[in-house]
Amino acid sequence: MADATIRRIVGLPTAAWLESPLPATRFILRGAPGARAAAGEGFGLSLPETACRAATDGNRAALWLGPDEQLLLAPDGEVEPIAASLARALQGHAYSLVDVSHRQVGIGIHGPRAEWLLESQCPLPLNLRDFPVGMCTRTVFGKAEIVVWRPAEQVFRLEVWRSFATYVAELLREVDRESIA
Amino acid sequence: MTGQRTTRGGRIDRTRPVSFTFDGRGYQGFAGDTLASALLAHGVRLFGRSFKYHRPRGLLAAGTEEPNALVTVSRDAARRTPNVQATQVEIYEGLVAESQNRWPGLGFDLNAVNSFLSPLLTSGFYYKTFMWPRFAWHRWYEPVIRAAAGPAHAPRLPDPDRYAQRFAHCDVLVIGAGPAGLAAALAAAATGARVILCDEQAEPGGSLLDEPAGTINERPAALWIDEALVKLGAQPNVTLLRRTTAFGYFPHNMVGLVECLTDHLATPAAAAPRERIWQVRAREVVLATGAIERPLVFPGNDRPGVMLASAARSYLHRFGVRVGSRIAVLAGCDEAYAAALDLHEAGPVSPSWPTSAMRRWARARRRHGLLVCRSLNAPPCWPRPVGGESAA
Amino acid sequence: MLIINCPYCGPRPELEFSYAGQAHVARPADPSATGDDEWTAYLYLRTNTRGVHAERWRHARGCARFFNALRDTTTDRFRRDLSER
Repeated sequence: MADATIRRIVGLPTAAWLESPLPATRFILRGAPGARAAAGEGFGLSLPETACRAATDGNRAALWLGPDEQLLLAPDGEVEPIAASLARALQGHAYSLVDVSHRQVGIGIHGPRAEWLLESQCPLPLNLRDFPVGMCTRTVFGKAEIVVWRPAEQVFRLEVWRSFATYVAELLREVDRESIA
Repeated sequence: MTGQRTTRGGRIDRTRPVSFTFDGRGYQGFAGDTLASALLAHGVRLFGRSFKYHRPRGLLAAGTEEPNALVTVSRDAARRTPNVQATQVEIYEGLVAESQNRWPGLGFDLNAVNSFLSPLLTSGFYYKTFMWPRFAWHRWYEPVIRAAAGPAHAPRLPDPDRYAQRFAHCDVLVIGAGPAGLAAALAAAATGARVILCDEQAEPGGSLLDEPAGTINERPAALWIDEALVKLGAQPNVTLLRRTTAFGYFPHNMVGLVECLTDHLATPAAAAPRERIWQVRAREVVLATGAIERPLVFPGNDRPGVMLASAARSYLHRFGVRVGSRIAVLAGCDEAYAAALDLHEAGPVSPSWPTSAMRRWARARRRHGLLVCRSLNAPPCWPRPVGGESAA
Repeated sequence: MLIINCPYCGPRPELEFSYAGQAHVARPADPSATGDDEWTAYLYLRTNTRGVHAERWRHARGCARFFNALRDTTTDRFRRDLSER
């Protein structure tokens, strides 16, 4: 789906520090550790074993969401080749692979105020000590469930289910307005 | 007891006059004044009426413990806040405040007649008396009783303000920025811990602000506060929240704070939130809330003119307002002697009635020529609380 | 708001969890052969403990796993095991 269409559907506001939607190919992979190792070969990077950590290689990323659940991210439009390669690699394993590319919307938050913006509604401590670079987790932002990932010191990436995306983005804008005070 | 502004002293900015109205009348205070201190400086002694008998009420305290001086502050029809303590309202240019629970006016309140009828108004009086005739309750009695009771009126328009919220995590949360709180924050910050220090007042310092003659580590109190604030301000691991009240202590060291952001501003930015609620998760919580003075119990102690000695010192040292020209100090502990001496130095004679004599203070008051009446029980020279000058 | 220790993700705020009732309540193996009393006990009867309570939590807005925890219902303190005071 084109960016403009997503923007129209979810009506996301834009700002210098807010980048959205971030179109991507997204898969949820569920399976036992054996399947995880095999999927790593099919996806081209070894999936994270450590809780709440992400693994990246080039423009692909795998985010640990649960002991048997991984979120796989790749550039937009790679659903077919990735699905085929994973299916080959996972042959013989019990697993579930779901294309969620259009189920959720990516929101990027950049800059020195990123941490401050998110801590308004996210109950986790997001300072570098408690939430280091490379950490990712599912959590809440206000009333919405989100996946938050810190790929760099001043960059956060949120993955939000499409129907909550406007709510999350508008809430971030509301927090941004506070800094006027 | 009629208050007056002293010629110098206090932590107000005498170069910045601020105009406001109370019950439609214009007054002028200074930046740093509260509504209570600014009115007191103009000799206002009547701040409200009691709930049932509409007895006259004046200031008892200078801080959050104030029970009497409840006022309504409004910016416009939708921004009307009833039941705020005059001692907690910072004045700003154009502030509009009104007294509550009086009709037709604060000075002349028709409902004060209840006070004379009080022997007839037994408990349960309303329920027993207004039963008959049945139809009259809704039509006659209830509207009149409702109009006479209830301290104030809420705005009828929706609240146009924005309110923000925030989660925060820290190693040490210090509640109260008085001497103990500032010292705790300094000690914690020196170890590199993340510290949040909050205080309900606009200015940190707590009781030290009322005690300019006091010293800490041989430094004058005011200087020590300034140095502490500079030190804390230079540390990136310290967050100082002013005008922030801790309102709840929840399981696993979660503390709720409410930060007032715009109520003290004459013209807040349109998008600025009015208040921010903080949910702070702290590894350790230091409660440095200080203490409030307990009022003495005697007939008529709710009359205007009766005030806590600590409040009198606070008005004098923080706001440069002497609470009266003739002041009687009722002493229960040695703090009262300090209050008597402070008030005495700021003006003419202040006689004092101690219930326990202390030699140290006795020497001091002889040096200052204070009149002291000794008596263990209610003294024969008990001041008449109604009308005349009275005790604190 | 409690801090709950998820065995996978570590200490997290209560907002992320959902409570899943008393732990170790076993479903009768053969419901059709179960008498009314036993079925009622399975469905409805819980201990309502004052003190250490074994209970299930789900890290619903985190790793989504169920786990068991021991919580003192009088103090809201979580314990590692029954011997911990």
